[in-house]
Amino acid sequence: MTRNFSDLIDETAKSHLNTLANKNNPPELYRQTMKQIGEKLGEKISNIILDKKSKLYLACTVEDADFLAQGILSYLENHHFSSIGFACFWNKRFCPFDIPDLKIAPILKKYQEPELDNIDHLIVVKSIISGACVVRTNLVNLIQKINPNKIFIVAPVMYYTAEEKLKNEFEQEVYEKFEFIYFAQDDERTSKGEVVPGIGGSVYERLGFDGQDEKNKYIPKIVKSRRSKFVNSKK
Amino acid sequence: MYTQDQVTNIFDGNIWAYLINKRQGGTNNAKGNIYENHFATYQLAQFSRYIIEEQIEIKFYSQIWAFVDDLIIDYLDTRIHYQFKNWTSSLSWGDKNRQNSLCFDFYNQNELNKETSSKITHLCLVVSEHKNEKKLSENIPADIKEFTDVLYFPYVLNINELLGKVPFFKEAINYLSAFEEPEPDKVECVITVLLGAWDSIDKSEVSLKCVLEKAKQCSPSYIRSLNINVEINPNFKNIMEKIPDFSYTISKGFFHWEHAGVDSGTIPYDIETENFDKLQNRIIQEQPSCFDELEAFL
Repeated sequence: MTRNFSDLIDETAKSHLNTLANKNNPPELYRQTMKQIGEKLGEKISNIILDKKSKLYLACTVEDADFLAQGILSYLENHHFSSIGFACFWNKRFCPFDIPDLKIAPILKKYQEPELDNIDHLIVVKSIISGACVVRTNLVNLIQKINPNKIFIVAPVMYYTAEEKLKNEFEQEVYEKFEFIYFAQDDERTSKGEVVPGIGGSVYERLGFDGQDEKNKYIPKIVKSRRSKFVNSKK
Repeated sequence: MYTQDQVTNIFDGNIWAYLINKRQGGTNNAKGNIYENHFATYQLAQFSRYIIEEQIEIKFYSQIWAFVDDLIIDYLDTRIHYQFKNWTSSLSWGDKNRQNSLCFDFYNQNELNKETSSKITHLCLVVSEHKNEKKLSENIPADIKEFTDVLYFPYVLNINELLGKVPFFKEAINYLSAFEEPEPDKVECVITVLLGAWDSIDKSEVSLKCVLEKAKQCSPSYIRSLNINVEINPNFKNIMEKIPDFSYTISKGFFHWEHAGVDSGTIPYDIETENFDKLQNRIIQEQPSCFDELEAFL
């Protein structure tokens, strides 16, 4: 088992990674740490995107919305980025008839703010990128309507082959826009497909969801709040 | 489909042993045979329209006792046999008197069918190289030419790659999907559950309807309803129509919804299922009056 840290790592981020990897930590601390590590990732993104007038669009999955994505979004909003669109996806990841080669993650529902024109930077957020199936599915969906100049693929931890695997799923004109932002790469996966140490096992369970079906019933606070503002602004 | 008695009555005794050897080889090759499964999935999708619109019985067979046995499809008065050769090396027909040649198998399959079936026989060699397609289609031996075709079908590792490469495949998947204009993840879902259902089903004799029903067991499958006359509960409909900024459509037996230009989704099971009935009943019981109250059910 080897963990390689990226150039973006600092002592605070390293400490957050250790907290996430420790399976003894309860969901409340895990959620809080995900948000904090999101803020650290937001800081790194902010350091790269120098033009604060850039139009950003951040997309995440339901389980990450109130924690990791909220952390990134808060940092960016608090550091002078005023135009940030947001999308949240409820995916169901499964292998039909338990055939391991047939992995899919269709989108059951989505919240997608409609300001999709002239986006400069698309930020796709995921707590861990391993097989890249969910990220690929959601990114394919997003780039049907959004044509950004750059696509940030952001996760605290990535499996060491995930970057290459994701690139291989796209045409050159798309993957040329990719910039991967992460703190660590791990090279081991369990038979269940969990990256070790990764983010300390199944993110659904660590965040306190009782499996995939339960997390898909969850309506993130950030979705409710942003939707409410959006609907009221139309009235 | 074909019995030992039928074969030994028509041919000499050695031919049954030949078929046993041939099938043994076929079974070994079938392990993880991506090419065969992809082509079968393509055919399943192509023929689905006949099941849904005309309720025609269509049967698929694979790896049975036959000369041309990679895939056999029976529909109406026709039986089509497919032989797959996803080889990059050069192929040739051979002749009808030489065992293990394509010509021998094609010729004898037609002879076997003439004696055992009233259906019109069509034999098709499926190749993954254009050079083989050209060479073999230009040189079909006279003994089999009347009932034989050569077809090009690309070999790829991921079935989704075929959508842009095989004419009418995407249209067939779109038709089979629960959407008028399916997004890429829904297309991928339909094609993958169909492939998975075929891969995991007993292929010695299976109806297309059976494969579709198996594929629809996945949740979600996003395969359209096979019943074209399905309706929602009027009480449920009343509730839905009163939710502000909310709209829905019923398309291909599925409930698609949209809210305020930001939220959208599709109930993952079709409206004729017990699951949808339960959902309707829960919503009728709870009487949500705004999207915030409704969305937990969606």
